[in-house]
Amino acid sequence: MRLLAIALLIGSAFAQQATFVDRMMAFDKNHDGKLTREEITDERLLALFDRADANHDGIVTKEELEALYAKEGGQQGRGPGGPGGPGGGPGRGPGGGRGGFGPPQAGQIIPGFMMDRLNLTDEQKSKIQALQKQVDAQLDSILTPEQRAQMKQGGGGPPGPARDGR
Amino acid sequence: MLQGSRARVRSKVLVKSGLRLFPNDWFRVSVEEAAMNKPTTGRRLFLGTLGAAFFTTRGLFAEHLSATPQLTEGPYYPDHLPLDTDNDLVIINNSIMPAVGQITHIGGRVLDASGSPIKDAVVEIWQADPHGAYIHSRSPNKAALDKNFQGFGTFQTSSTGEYRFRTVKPGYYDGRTTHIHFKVKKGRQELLTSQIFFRGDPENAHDGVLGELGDPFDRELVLADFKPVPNSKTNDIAANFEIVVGRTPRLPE
Repeated sequence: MRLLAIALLIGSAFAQQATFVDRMMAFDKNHDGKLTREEITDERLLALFDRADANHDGIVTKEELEALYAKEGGQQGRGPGGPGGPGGGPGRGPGGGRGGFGPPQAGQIIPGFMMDRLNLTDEQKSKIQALQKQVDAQLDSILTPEQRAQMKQGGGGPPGPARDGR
Repeated sequence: MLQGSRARVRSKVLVKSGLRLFPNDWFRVSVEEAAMNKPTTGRRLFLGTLGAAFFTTRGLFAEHLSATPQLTEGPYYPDHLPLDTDNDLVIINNSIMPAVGQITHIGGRVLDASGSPIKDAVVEIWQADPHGAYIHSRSPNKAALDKNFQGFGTFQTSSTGEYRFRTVKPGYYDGRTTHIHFKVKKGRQELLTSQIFFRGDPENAHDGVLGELGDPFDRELVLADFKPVPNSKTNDIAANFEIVVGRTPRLPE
């Protein structure tokens, strides 16, 4: 059951990278397989284009988009110090709630928007945090380092103890 | 009612400008322009003062625009409204005491997916003060709440779809990074609820709500580039933030 969940998450990580690249490549008006700055008609995405353009040649290739995704995709992770973060609760997958965009992140007990909504007491928060730490630790022990790296690349980094917030 | 609130925005702004509390004129004039439905001059002034970098719309969007992702409303949407709900959160009514904090301007347009401005949309924002306190009765850091901070504001768009607010930079609370909540309504319909994030904030990497957007494409649509306002003596910051409402309007819950 747990393995199945992890397999699904890794699968969705790849699906999400593909989605990201496809969404950007949708701007490829002349269908040459590359993006130019002029093709980015939604200016909100120009900063992202510039970050993707690693060699600063004014052209963004699929490979550059994949590299950007590896760098930024799903890496935001949740803040272990704060109330919540992503990760779909049972029966509340992506799109299930107001905050439901993108797949839940691996191992998250309660997604951030849900934590927000529950109006938890400090005691509850610290209990959930403690539980989250247990889950994080167990998940880390189940996965190989390669799998952990793979998950980090997309969809949602594994709960990294190294990413402790405050 | 709507006309009334517009008039109120104008009169308050004029009174405030009389007190010389606005560090520069662009905000005051553009608010008035927007209120008086004179978009062209307002926009030109906005462009001229802030530079084109702040106005990120190139021509007309002929293509389909991606909707601004929805994000949680969170627990602190005001449970009681402040005495004043205009678009200047720094000063409540005609108080002579402004809110404490770094003056922060946020504005842009409300667009539909085809890039057309949405007229008569009401944009609401609510946020924590610099101490991380909301005006909500169950706010964190409640004791520290700045009584001069309005905490919530509204702005009704004209035919250009433009909106703008003057506020203070929000503080951290409960592990959340810097953010401003917003809601777009039209009539009784709620079109969108989401949050504006400050690009470059070191806490963004740990924020659970922003982290829900696993796709950098989506994250990009909720990040605003706040930059220093040129020649501001009070170190004001400003950002343009376009709001794109998707196809499916939602009814209030």
